[in-house]
Amino acid sequence: MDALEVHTVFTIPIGGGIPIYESVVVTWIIMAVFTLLAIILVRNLRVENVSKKQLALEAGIAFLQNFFEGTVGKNGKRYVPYLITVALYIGASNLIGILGFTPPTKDMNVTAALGIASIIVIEYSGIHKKGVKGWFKSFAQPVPVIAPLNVLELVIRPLSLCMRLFGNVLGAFVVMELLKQLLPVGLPVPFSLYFDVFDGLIQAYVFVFLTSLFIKEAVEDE
Amino acid sequence: MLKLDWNLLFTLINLVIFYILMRKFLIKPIMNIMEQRKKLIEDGFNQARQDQDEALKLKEQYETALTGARDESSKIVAEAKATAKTEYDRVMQDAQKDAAALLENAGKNIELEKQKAMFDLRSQVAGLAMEAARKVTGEKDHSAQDLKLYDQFLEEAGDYHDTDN
Repeated sequence: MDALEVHTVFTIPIGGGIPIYESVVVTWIIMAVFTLLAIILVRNLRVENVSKKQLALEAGIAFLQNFFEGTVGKNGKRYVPYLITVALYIGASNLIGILGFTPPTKDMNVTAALGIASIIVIEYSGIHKKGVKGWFKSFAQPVPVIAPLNVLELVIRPLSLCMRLFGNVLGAFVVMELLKQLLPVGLPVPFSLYFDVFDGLIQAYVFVFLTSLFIKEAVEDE
Repeated sequence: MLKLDWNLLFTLINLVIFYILMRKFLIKPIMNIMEQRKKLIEDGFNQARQDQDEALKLKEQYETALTGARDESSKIVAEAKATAKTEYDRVMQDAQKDAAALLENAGKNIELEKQKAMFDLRSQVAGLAMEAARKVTGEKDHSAQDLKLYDQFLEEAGDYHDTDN
């Protein structure tokens, strides 16, 4: 059971002491690594005579960009960088277990934060597109009767996003821990490929895909 | 594991920072580059299209100019041919006329010469006849009356012969 707990790395001595969890520290590591990589890789970009490295980088970013632009549509183009960031973060978080770190997404604080961030962006995009009045009106669409349901969605959407990600990652983590206890050599490899790599990427995909769908819905032309 | 606390806020802050970092260092530069390349390529395409249009226009112009020149040249050749023909005809006519005139002149000259020769001959014959007559008669210095008489005679006889010719 100890493995399931989120470890406290250190405590900020303010008030009763604020514990900083492993998930937050690993997030910092992910952020640092990505930022450093980005700075190093992006440094020598050229318009012509591109290197293979740049080509691969561009292909990756273009793939993500095209994918998200396809889902959020033309109106939601400005939210693509956010979606790419979240995709990178969740993908890296789910995969980092392979390197021996605890996946940050195993901590519900992280998934909840992701879900809350998503609903904030979704509703912000709606307000940005339709204005505050239009945004309020959009709850009564397509028929006023379902307005309560639409309001409920404000909670349901982030909650489902949060819980789906959290449950998947935690489940994978638990299964992997059990397998490691059963036979630490060889056996976990194929399962790790499935639970960490495949399921991790699928969950990252599902999360950002649903977020982009919701954004698309929010910024749709009437 | 299942408790929510400050770390949620930290993660939110982390997320915002991560978003800003990624946008600044990864997505913006790459998108800029791709945008620039896209623009470059589009510019190239537009330029190429413009050049092609221009080339086509020029080609059309050249073609019309060429056909015009061809027409012009054929016209010039035809005109030259026509002029040459008329000139030739004129020269030929002139030549024929000249030749005819020459021939006529020659004929006249010959006639004149002939007449002159005849006249000389006649006068010589008259002289001879006179001489002969003098010898026969043995007389000298006959009157001019006699000479006239011979002349008359010969003229008549010559005329008779001429018409006979």
